[in-house]
Formats: sequence, C-alpha cells, structure tokens
Amino acid sequence: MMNNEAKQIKKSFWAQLKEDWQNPISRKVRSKNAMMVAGKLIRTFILIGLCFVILAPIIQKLSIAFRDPSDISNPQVAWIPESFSIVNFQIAWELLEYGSSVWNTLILSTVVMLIQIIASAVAGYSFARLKFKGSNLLFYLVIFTLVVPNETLHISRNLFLTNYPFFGIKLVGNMFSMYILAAFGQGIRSAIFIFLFRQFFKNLPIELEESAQVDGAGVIRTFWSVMLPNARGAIVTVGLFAFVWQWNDLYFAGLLNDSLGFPLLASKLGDGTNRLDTVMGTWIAQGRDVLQSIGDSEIKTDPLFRSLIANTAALLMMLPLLIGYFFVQRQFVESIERTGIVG
Amino acid sequence: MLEKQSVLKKFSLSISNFFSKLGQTTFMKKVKAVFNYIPNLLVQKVSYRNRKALWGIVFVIPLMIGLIYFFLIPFITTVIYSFSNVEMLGYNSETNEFIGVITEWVGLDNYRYIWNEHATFKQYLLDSFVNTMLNVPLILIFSLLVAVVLNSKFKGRAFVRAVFFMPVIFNSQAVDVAMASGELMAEAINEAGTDIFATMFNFQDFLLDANLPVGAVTFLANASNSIFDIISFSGVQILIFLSGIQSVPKHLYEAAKIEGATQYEIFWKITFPMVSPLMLTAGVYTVVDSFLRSEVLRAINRIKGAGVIKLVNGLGNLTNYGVHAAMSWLFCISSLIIIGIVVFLLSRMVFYYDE
Repeated sequence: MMNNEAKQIKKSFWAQLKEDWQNPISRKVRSKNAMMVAGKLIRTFILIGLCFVILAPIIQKLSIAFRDPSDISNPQVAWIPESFSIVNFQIAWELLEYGSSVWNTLILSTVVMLIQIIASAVAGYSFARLKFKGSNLLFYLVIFTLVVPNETLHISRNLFLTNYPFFGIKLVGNMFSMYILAAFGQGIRSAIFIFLFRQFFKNLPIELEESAQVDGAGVIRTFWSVMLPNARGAIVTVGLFAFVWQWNDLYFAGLLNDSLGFPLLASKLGDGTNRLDTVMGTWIAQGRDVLQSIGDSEIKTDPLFRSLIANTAALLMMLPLLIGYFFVQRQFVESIERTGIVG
Repeated sequence: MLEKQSVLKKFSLSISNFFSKLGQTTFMKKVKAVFNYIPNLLVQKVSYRNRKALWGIVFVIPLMIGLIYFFLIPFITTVIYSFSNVEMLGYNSETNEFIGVITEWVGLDNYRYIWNEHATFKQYLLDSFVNTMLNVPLILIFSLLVAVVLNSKFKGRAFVRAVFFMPVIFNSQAVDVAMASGELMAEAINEAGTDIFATMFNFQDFLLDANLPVGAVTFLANASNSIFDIISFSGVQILIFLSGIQSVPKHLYEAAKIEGATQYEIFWKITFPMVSPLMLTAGVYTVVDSFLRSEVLRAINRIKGAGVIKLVNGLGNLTNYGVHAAMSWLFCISSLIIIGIVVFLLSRMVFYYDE
C-alpha cells in the first residue's frame, strides 16, 4: 500500500518535470536565464583578460626592477627574480636626482593644474553663456589648436619667443613659462579643457543663472558663486587630466632648462637613460658605494643592465602617480559620471 | 566658553558697526561714487544682454592674447618658412644679443624635397593615414562596448573601472623614450619565456593548420597583438561614452524593460542612438590622438637637428628649418583631411534626441 503511494508520487513528480520541460513559457524563461548566465560568464572572462593585459606591463616592470643585476642574463628568471635587491632603485634614484626632481615636478604640476582649471573655466563659461560677436569663430580657432601639435610649431615659436620676449619676460629657459602659458590658455591640451567646461556649463539649467540674475548678482558673482560650485565634476576631471599630462609631459619640460637648477622627472628620465654610460663612468671614477655592491665589472657594461636601469627609472617616475591614482580614482570615476561631457 | 563666544560676537558686531558707519560718511560715499561710476553708467546705458557680451569679451581676453602670441604668429611664420630657405644667424658674439633669421623665398622647393628626395616621410605619412583610418572604427567600437559593460552592475566593478582608466594616467612620452632603450630587456624576457610548450601551443600555427585563409589569420594575430595599444588609446573615449550613457534618460530604459526588450535590443534601439552624437567627439579625438603618436611626428622631430640639406636636382641648399616647417604643414593638412572624412562618415549615423 505504502509502496504504491510512493510510486504514484514519484511518477507524478517525473510527469510534472516532463510537463515543465515541455511547457513553452518555462522553456522561454529557462533559455533566457541560460543566456544571461552565459553572458555574465563571457563578460567575466573578457574583463579578466583585458585587466590582465593592462596590468601585465606594470607587474613586469615591478618584477624587473627588483631583480639583482647578476640575474639579467639568467635564462631561468622570467617573472620572479632569483635574488631580490634594491640596487637598481638606488642607481635610478641617483640618476634622476629623485628627491629634488619629484618635488619640482609635484610643484609644477599642482600649480599648473590650478591655473589651468581657472583659465579654462573662465574661457569655457564665456563660450557657453556670454555670447558675443565672433565667439564661435574664436572657439573653433581654439579647437584648431588641438590639431596642430606643439612639436610642429617648435622652431618658429622658439625663434619668435627668443626674439620678442612676452611683455618683457624671457620665456625660453624660464621656469615660470609653463605657468604663463597655462594662464593664457596655451598649456598642454588646454583646448580640451575649455571644450569640457563649455559643454558642462551649457548643460547646467539656465534657470540657475536667471534666478541669480533676478537676485541682483552681476556676471562675475554669478560665475563665481553659482556656476563654478556646481561644476565640481568638470573641475575634478580637468584637474586630474591637467595634473597627469603635465607630469608626463616631455616637450615643455625641455622648454624649462635643466641648468637653472630646476630638474624635472620627465626630462631627467628622457636624457638620463641616454647619458647612463657617461654617468656611470664618472661614478666609477669617484668610487661611489652604489656601484661597489654590484661587484662584477662585466655587468656594468652590459646593454641589458642599461635597460634594467631605464626600466626602474620609468617605474620610479610612475610610482607617485600610481599611489595618487589609488586614492582619487573613486572620486574621479564618480565625477565623470556626473560631468556629462555630452557633445 | 560661553563668555568667549559672546566676546567674539561683540567684537565682530563692533567691527561691522564700524564699517557700516564708515560707509555712511560723506568721504566714503564720494569714494564709492567714483569707483561705481563706470558700472553704474553701464547699468543705466547698456542692456543686460550687451553687458553679458562685454563680460564675455573680458573673460576671453587672456585666451585671445595667448592664442595670438603663442599660436597664431608662430603658425603663420611656419607657413611662411615652409615656402622659404631659412638661415639662422645666431647670436652676436660680442653683445650676446640674438640677431635673427634670414628667409629667402624658394617657392615649393621644400615640398619638392620632401616628396622626391626624403627617404621615409611619404611612407610614414601614408602609413599613419591608413593606420588612423583602421584605428578609428576599431577604437570607437571597442570603447563603446567597454563603456556599456562598465556601466552594468557586477561584482568588483570599482576595481575593473580603476584598472581600465590606468592607461590614461600612464601614457607618458618620457617613459616611452626610456623604454625604447629598455626593449632589449623585454626581448630577453620573451626569449626566456619561449619554451617548448609555447611553440607547441602556438595558436596562429593551429589556425593555419586548420586551413583557415592566411589573410584572416594574420589579421586576427595583428589585432590580438595590438590589443594593448587599442586599450591604451581608448581610455578617454571610454570616459566620453560612459558619461554619455549615464546621461540617457532613465525612463527610456524602464519603458523598454516593461515592453520586454532584451539587452541586445536595448543596446541597439536606445543606447546606441542616444550615444551617437558622442561618436563625433570621440572620433575626432581618436584621429588627433593617433596622429600625435604616429611615426610622422617622430620623423618631423628628427629633422629638427638635421642642419643643411643638399638637393640632388640642382635646386640648391635647403636648411632644416624650412623642411621642418613644410613637414609640419603637411602633417596638419593631412590630419585635417582625415578629420573631415571621419566627421562626414560619422555624421550620417548621428541621431539627435528631442525631448
């Protein structure tokens, strides 16, 4: 009796399962769910792969930097060095004059960032809301400056600036020239920043401005205490890009002369690796401690050793940015979502 | 504590009282009248709209000065240089004063030299033309897809986003220059990595063995080899598309979901048309950016220190200044042409949403 009942239940269970399987609605639901799971799986795989592609060079740089110079011709070492050492860091540190050059680059990038934000916000506000005759033409001219890279104007600009100092200020070889360029809207890709601010101010509701105007605020007051505080997203975006591009820039770093006692990371890295042989020669002559720890003299003349140092120096240059980015990335991504850079 | 606060309050009150009294004295009234004379005149005589336009000009004045001084004058000089033979006189040896340059009109000689005599420039220009035309659709599609994926919700999204914008931060010319001398190291590492397994599981050979056409296999191999370049070139474009997707009205998505649209349909019917105006911005940025990284610019930089160039065809001597200017000019024109093509092609698929 009991057995029979149990069998019936079992049968009905299987029957129900079969019925469910053939039911067109649940079939549709099932296929949709399967598709979603498959999509998520594919997405995860692709994202992991792309993240690896992006992170691999940085990890590789790290692994190379901690490698002992005696390991460079060791075929056994691919990722994890056989013997760790910080000799490379010491040499690269000396080569870049890291202490002073980081400090100088930090000051330069921060000040230029602030100047760029103010200059491009003012110009962008004018292009967005304070229309005058020919403002569109001027804006197109500003965008045109993007197409013409600085390198192509290099010779005529340098000749012109050495011939005719800017209001009595000699710009070539002057450590303040970058600030002046940024203040007059000609810093590194200032046109993009002006474009960004223009788009942002255009998208702010016009009622905001009108109410300020009804309350008796003038143009400057409207700009300073109503529009600018609302442009936080654009300010964060522009600030980050201005800082990073200034940090990484090589062209304008050449404009600021090294001989003035204002070494910058980028210019040091650029020619430091080319001068490595002569620098090493003088160090050997001086008998510095750093080189004595390497010992083997064959390694010092190895071209691989040179690239080892170049790699470590590049890592040292990127390191402050990496640490800084770790802290601001959340704000940065959020600000971009709120910026709405809609063309 | 309380006493302290009250003292502070009294102090500040007395100060404000003092200033309000000072403002009511006749002397201060006169000073105010003098300083407000022009603004008052403006308020009485000029309409608000015109005042705004005036302020607009005032706001732009620094930009205009910079544009003329640092961009327009050097730009026009470059155009003149490109048609002439430029000789630098250098510095006066006694007074250490800069003397200047001599320009001599030579017509199209600089261009003729670049076109007929220069070994590589034409090839570089053509290469970067083709590369850019191939890169623009690739980067646009890739960055749009990545933006859509980064916009959806999943575990570890914050980390993935942070990683994807890292190439934007670490694109440095100086690092590139340093790593150019560091390429030996990378090669050595790659040699260490090529063991028997790597050659055994060579995917390219596998595809060729499967009788796939050679062209398709090489295209795939090239695309997968340049995946890092594509990722590192498309950071800003991902940002543009991401912010564009964020600004799409949410009610459109809700309506589509209620009607039972799939994700695929939502992408093609809503996200793509709404984001399409940004295609123009991103496309133009891509062209400008990939031209900035091209081999042409490096060739132009190399000619900067080349000195006097002798022409074979009896055209006479040319200096590097004139040739550099002509190259720059060609560079700008060709990038403008590509931008024109891209804008023309993309503007056909742009859709503008009217509320």
